[in-house]
Amino acid sequence: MALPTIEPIRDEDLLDFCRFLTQHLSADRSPEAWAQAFRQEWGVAKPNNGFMLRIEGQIVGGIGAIYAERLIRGKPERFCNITSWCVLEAYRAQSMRLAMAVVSQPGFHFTDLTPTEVVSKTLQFLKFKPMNERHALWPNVPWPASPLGRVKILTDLDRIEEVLPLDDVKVLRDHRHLPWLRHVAVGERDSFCHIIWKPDRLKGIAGAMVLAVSNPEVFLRNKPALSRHLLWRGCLYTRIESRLLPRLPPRVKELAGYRIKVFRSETLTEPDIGNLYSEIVALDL
Amino acid sequence: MNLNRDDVKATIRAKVIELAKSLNMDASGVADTDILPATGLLDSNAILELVVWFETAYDFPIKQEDVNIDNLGSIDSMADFLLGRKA
Repeated sequence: MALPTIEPIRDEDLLDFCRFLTQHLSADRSPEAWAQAFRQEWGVAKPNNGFMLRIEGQIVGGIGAIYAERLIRGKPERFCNITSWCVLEAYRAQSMRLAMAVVSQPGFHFTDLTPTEVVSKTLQFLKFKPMNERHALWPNVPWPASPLGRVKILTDLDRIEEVLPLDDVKVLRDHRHLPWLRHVAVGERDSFCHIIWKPDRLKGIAGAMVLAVSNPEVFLRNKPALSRHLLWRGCLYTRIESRLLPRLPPRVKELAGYRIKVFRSETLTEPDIGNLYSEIVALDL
Repeated sequence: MNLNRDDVKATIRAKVIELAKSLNMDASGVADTDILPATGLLDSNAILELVVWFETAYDFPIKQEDVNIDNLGSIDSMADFLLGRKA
């Protein structure tokens, strides 16, 4: 069997690759919906949109990559987030070549935040590290408002920008155009936490899945106010990956058995790896 | 168990060829230094199957953190890893 070639997915190839994803990975998502996830302007000159396998002009596999520059502890770091790894059955043996092509690119930290079990193990073979996959969950209850209204909840995006530190403002600006994300800031005086969440559902019950918190300590301190806020919006529970918190708050249930997200970096550690700037936010998953 | 490096490599190579054949690939020309995931001869399942076979065939448990391309990415590195562990 002739070996397919590996080619970078250039901007001009992107729609063809996305048509391939719609046809072979998820027909629920249109090629344009796939493509917009790769077209994010997240502060880095992206070298490609991933890599694809071609044989006689036909795409027979590919692996997408979403690139971003993020500030980690005040320092700019470049990320390559792997997503949408799909290879036709007849060319399965070439799948590892694709992954090798992506991770051979110098200067990036690599993440895969939605891997299947096999992909997670495969990437661990390529020196990706597994992260804590547990989720913390608590019911949202109508806690009384804080005395004298000290704790503020902000949902207007422009107002949120006014109270956040500059680094957090950049995060908000990088994500505010994505319509499936919800933003809220909670805190008091000059100490606010920016929270990005999505409506969620567990066993038919509506809740909130928190994807990112800019200041975990402020988040935990103001958990009752946020809980009340989310309850008013019909969310009966709050769910968040345990790894995004410095510790579990009391009276929280921890759930296990979720996908094991992985990352590969010489210098960063698990707490540095968030869900933002990835397909988790770039796609309406 | 006395292990001969050339014998170990020949055994690993035979397993690689067998796994590749199941994917309709001909791995008879695979070199000892070839990085197996980059050859296009084995898919991810086959790589993991190779690791499981390696553990069983030589009766040595491999810690999860040791299952990586540095230790097990080529026939050479697999032989080195095994002989280092059995020394």
